[in-house]
Amino acid sequence: MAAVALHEGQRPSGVFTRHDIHGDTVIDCDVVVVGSGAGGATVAAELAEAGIDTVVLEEGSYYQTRDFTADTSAMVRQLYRDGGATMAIGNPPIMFQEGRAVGGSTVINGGMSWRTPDPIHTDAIGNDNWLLKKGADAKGWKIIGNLRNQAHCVGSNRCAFGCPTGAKQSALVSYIPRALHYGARVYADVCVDRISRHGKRATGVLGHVRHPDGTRGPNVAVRAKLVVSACGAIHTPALLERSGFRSPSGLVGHNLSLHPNVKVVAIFDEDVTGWKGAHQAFQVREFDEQGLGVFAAVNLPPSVLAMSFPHRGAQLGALMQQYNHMVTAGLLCEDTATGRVRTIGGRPQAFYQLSKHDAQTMQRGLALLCELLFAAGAKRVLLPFGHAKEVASADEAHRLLDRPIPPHGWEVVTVHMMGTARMGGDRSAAVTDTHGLVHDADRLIVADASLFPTPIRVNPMETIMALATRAAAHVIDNTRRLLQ
Amino acid sequence: MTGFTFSNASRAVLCSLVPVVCPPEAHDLAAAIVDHMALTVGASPALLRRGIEAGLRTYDLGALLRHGRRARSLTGDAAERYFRSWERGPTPLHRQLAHAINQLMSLSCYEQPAMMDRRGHEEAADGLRRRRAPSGRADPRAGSAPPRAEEGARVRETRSDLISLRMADVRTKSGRFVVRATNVRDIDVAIRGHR
Repeated sequence: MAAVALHEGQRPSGVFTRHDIHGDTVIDCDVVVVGSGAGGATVAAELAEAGIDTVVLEEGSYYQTRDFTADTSAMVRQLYRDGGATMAIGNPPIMFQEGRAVGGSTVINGGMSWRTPDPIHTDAIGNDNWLLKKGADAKGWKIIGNLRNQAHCVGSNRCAFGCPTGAKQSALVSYIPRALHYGARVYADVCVDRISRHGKRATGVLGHVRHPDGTRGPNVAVRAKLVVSACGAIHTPALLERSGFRSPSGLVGHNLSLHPNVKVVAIFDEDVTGWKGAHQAFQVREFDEQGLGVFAAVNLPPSVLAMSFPHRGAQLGALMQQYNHMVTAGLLCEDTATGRVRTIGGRPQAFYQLSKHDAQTMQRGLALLCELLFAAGAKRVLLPFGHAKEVASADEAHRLLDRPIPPHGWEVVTVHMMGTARMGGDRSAAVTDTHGLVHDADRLIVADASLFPTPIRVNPMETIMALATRAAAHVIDNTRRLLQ
Repeated sequence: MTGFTFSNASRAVLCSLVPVVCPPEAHDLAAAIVDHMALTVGASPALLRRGIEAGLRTYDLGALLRHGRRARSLTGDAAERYFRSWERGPTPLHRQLAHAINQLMSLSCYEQPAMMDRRGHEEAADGLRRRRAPSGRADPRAGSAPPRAEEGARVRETRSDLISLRMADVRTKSGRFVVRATNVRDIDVAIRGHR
């Protein structure tokens, strides 16, 4: 097994990596953007296009479409922060995933995008999603075609591990090339330690080159007239705290929402071959007013699915024999609880306690999801609890899920972290103003999901991009005040 | 990657657990599975790596009390019973270690080419690789024009209030420096060392 599956080949002009930085370095620019995901790349492209000298710093490495392969665990190790092993502490603990590569989490998300009018071609819809639709139709529930930011998806179902065909329009293949085209510079492998400041004014950032083994390389200082923090809802509050920016509201790091997700695995008699077809072609939206934002079918590679089962030995082998008959379906809960990101030893640690109300909402959702899957023809469904309860009918699922389930029994994951530097006009109740400018600080903008005042019930990428575009427009309209 | 490797003791424990955790058809792949586990653990936070190593040492020694032998020497039913005793262990730490081993080993097991019986999945992936699209477009609003890397330094519009000399002392592999300068004629000049 090769230790490094991805390679960093020829790079476009304007992209620099650890190989280019051999000693302590100072970079001058107008705007430095920390993070290159949905928020950072968007801001960078907009500002660069307006003629503003922009530098993007990204902790992860620079990879291109040709680097994305079917080797799932290699992709996870290289594209996910901490190899995907990040966790919000609570009962139950909630695993969350963040991208760490140029393009940020847009490289590894499902590509759900609610302003993109390009529908998925029917040929690219997989059987697992047709079964989801069949079940929803049988129940008479509202199901809609998913809107995804893809240009020519052929249904390889590898969205979460780097799109191997370049069809998913992640920031890596859309906003980053646009930013480069207009003169922005992107520094990969640079980890930002803190924002430098003069009084309340942000004057740049201080960081270091991060080697693949996690060791520290040369220091990098960027002197800038404006700093944009776009490193996500977990790392933005930590960066603000490490840099000594404390909101008058005292809410930096508070208000963490997660859109808790749970999944079930349904086993059908028929061949599903769920890995053929676009990732999440449909979403059931019947219950979105009841806190159950989305039901969707999400195929997982065999290794990731095997890892999620508590079975082992021959039992695991027998279960995995049915891999091509499985539909993995999940639901997203619009959470009412909030958690917190604390900075411990300079590193962020998320704390989040699933509320009883949200657990009940998810239990109700699971019962409904089971109903749908059995209506589509499922023979049995494995539920998302440590002991992997298995049910053989919708009635059995309802009976089981009507009883309270202790929090520690849940297996909850998420990829939507939001709200830790919430925006708002009232400086006593928000961290930033409505353009993302941090209250009580000068020339410091937040442009990522930290800004969300509440969970938004749908996949957040498009909203992050919209807020980042708005922040960039504000900068362009106020260059005298913000960039001189 | 970190180049992380398990200690010899941990590796021996993990190899002994392959028959307990993995399906029978994977038992011959113990060395490859443990190598793969090292890659996965190596990508995780240092604290977790240390926790797993410490947990494996404890697991190994703990068998002395129950079975009079280290865990790495247990086989068959004894290995199965000992692992189960940790799965149902008296403390969350016992249970979490057993859970983590089960998860990591299952992942590594089904990442082995010999185990990836996905009925044509690999062939499909190869087919997709042949159909790759260009890496990106210069401007999402400009149709499918390929990125024009050679124009990467050109600034379309430069306002007088942004004009300044900028120098980035980033040394390239050839030892040169990247220098950027913007003058009043909206010309952005990039003198770049040969990369």
